[in-house]
Amino acid sequence: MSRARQPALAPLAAVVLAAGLALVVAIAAGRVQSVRVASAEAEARMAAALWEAGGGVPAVVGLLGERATMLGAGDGGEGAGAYAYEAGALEPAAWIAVAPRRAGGRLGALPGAALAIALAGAAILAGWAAGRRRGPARSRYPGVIALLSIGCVALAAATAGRWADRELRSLSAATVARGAQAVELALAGGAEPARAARVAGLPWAHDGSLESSDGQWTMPSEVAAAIAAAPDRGSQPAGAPAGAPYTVEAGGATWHAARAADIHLALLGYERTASPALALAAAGGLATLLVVLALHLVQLAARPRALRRTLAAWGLLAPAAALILAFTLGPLVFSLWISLHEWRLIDPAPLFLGFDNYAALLADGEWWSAIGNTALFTLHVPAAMAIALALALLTRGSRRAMRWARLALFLPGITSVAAIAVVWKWLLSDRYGLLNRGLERVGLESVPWLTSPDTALVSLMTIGVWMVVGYQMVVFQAGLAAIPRDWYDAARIDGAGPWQRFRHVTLPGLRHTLFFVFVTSVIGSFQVFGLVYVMTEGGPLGATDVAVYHIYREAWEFLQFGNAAAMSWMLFAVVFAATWLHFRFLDARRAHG
Amino acid sequence: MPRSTTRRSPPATTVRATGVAAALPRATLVLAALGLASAGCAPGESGNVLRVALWAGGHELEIERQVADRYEALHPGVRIALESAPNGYEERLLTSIAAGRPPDVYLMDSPDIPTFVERGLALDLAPYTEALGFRPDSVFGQVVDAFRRGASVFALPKDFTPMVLYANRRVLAAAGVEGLLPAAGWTWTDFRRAAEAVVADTDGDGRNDVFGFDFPRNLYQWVPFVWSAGGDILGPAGSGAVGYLDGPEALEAYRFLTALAEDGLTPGAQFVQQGDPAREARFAWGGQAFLLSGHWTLPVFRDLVETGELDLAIVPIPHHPSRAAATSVLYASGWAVPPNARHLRRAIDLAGFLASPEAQRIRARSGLAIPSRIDVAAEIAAADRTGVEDAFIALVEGARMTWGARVRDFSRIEALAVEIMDRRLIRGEPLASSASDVARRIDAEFER
Repeated sequence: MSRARQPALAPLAAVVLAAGLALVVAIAAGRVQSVRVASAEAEARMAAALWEAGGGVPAVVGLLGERATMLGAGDGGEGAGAYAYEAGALEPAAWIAVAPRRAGGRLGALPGAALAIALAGAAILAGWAAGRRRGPARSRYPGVIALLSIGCVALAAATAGRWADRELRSLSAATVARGAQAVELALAGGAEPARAARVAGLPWAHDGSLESSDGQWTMPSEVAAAIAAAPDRGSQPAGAPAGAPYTVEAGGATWHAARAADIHLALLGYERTASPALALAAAGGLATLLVVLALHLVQLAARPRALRRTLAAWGLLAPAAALILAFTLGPLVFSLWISLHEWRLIDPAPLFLGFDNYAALLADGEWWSAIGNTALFTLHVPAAMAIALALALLTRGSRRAMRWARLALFLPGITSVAAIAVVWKWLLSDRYGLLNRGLERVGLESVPWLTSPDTALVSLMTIGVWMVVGYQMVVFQAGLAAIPRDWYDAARIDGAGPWQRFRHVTLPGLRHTLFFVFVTSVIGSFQVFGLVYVMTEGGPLGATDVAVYHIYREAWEFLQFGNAAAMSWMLFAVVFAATWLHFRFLDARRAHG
Repeated sequence: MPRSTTRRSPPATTVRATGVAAALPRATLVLAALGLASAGCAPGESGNVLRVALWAGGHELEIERQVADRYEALHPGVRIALESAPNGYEERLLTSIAAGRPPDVYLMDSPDIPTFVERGLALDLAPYTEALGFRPDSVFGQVVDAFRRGASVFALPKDFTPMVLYANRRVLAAAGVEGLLPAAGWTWTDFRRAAEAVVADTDGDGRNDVFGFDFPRNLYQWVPFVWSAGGDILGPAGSGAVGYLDGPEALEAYRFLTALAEDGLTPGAQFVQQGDPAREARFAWGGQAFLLSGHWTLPVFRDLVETGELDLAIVPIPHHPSRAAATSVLYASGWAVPPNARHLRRAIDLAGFLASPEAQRIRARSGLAIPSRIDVAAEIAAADRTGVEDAFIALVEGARMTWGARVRDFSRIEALAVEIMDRRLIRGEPLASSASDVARRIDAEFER
């Protein structure tokens, strides 16, 4: 049976390699195709804007020539195109369909180079697979073949990326040129400059405040910076040419433009040149991974039982792995990328800053204050563990009272944080809270539990202890159950009292449990958010401003996503360092017996 | 040991492999069914569905649904999907825009205007006002101006509210100071005298349980006091805080407000943005004489007013004794259309309907805000037997739109500005030094 399957599996690697390379090529070609359609739609919108500016059919024909087809408003709506409206009208007058333009380069350039690489790689692999059947596998240098295959994938991805980028730039330049032509047609048709500028189709061009009589533009700095980030799309930088009266100052650069429309078109061009490099790199990586996996399978083909088990294991792991990739690793990589940019979620393009966000954080006092508060909050963990351990010892056994006690203690751990926070907020209210009323009843002064910087964090820590102690207690009881009864009996025979048994039997027996609870609780306390969000909003005067709440505000209140992502990675580094130190500490203890 | 376990396992492995193989077609079917279901259910993918983003909840959402139903009745074949997020509205809206799937129409709050307009996320509706039958002069001037930039109009006003003082007449009458309630305007001195007079320990437990006011901690609450002292928080261009936020007039306002808390005229301060959660209940049952709020609080009290359980008066915010009148602050919202809306012209038409007199009349049933149209607001006021609507409208004149409608990233300024009085009440720090420090930090933010 295994011999019958081997020939079928052997060419698998070649097929996978070819498929991976085809994926890379398809992504690059797909990106170019989508930009071709998007450019056609942009041109259609320009033509529609020209129509609306009063140009009518002649202007559309003058702009797009034979590539435009005019249809009745009821006949169009599909494919690349746009509805044309009379000025201020809400019902369309016509549908302008536009045939997507071919890119500047020859389309055959990509398949020619990339497919040749793909075929060469597949041929090498197929040759190896065929040769493998004639001789021992180890003599065919599978490692070298694998490296060659990976090289093929990387080369094909790089070639496809270069091709796609060139095509996109060519399409972009053509779109910009078409936009400039549209603006000129509008101006020639008697349109106001502001109206003509709108033909470029950029939303912010509609903002009247951007027009300035003295030529000094007050456009959003992010927009100008986006232009600056694509110098070959923007107007000429540096110097003050006589024919360029408009000046844009942003991102430390000064830009001059002969016409207002140039700036609009520069951004239009920039938007069209988003390179597919990231997608290609991902596809290349995936193809490489698949090739390596396929080679591994081919190696396993000689042992059918192992192959079956491996396939079954991969099949079972695949759904979870896909979820982790999509919802954990993917966002992680994305947040790392964001942390290197200035980005407000709705900016047209993130501005690359390198490590500026991280450098700024090092000098940000409020951020370090939040880290300090978080570290202070973490101090509740040892207290919670001590109480949990005591409760675990006290509530052992199967008596009904013990079972109810465990249930009562465990309940806070499974209750919604928001609900807990709301209830505690009322309990701790200065004026109406149950606690303060109780204190007053017994003749004591009320305490500003949440409204004083001296007590607010301590109050939250106390609630934190109450919340986690039940869960920790259950884990400790599991740990206690695992300690052999013989140890206690032996200790008793040796004359050990309760404290000595606890000190020399229970604690050493719980060592791993204690470590697990400590590390997970510290990590959990570094992520505290709900209590702060509902109860104190980081106040008073920042006394409870913890790291995750600080990050949340930076992102969602102040829309500084780059900063927030950098903070997240710094927090990760702090938590990682703390955990690593714990491990080192434990290793050192082990080493010393 | 593991190896022997592995050796014992082949039959089981075979069974599992068979199970997996058998499950694959089923899993494929389930996935396909899910895919079809999601494709069928995706809102907004259909050409006749218009998505509207708003923050209405409960009864307000029911009323917005009635408005949407009316539009659907007028436009057969069109369906309106209301995507409401009473909490986290801005997060949801921004995410949908960033994901390239913005709603067709969205509700724009006044503090969000610069964020959305300056980033090109709102279409200029000025070219369509004629087709929509929208006349700017039919709307309260300050409200429509908030959404204007030059000749452009970036949202069609929905409704608005000024910040006013709710007064509990019974509490004031019990203290014998009902006569201090103003017909038109009053000074800080009068207000403080009334607040002092009502403070009382009615149950004899040694603690006061009736108060004059509750401490207005947030900028949106105390900015009218600064204006009513003749000062401001930012320079005329909205780009500098030093000399304004820490100016002498602003300092006088801070001193006046913090003294209310320090002298026991308020039930202690709450240092959170959401404020004192008991304030409305305390006001309603007679534990507080004055409540600073907008029109949105009125529905909470309306039943009590109509049954006579609450004797309510709407009065202006008091002004500095050296000034002639107070200047309140306005908050408004309007219907905007993203330039990349999927159904742009239909979206514009819908925005026009949502801001129309017909929609505003339906919406006025919720009583949460004042309709932006002057004629509809007058109709509502005329139909109101309690007189509070008239009082609200009378206070619109002379009120100013929030700085947030002009200054980008105003939330950062709001977050910093609360520190001024917090530092005084918590640490006893002089107001001048905390105001100066906060003003400097705000200017540093502007620089950044």
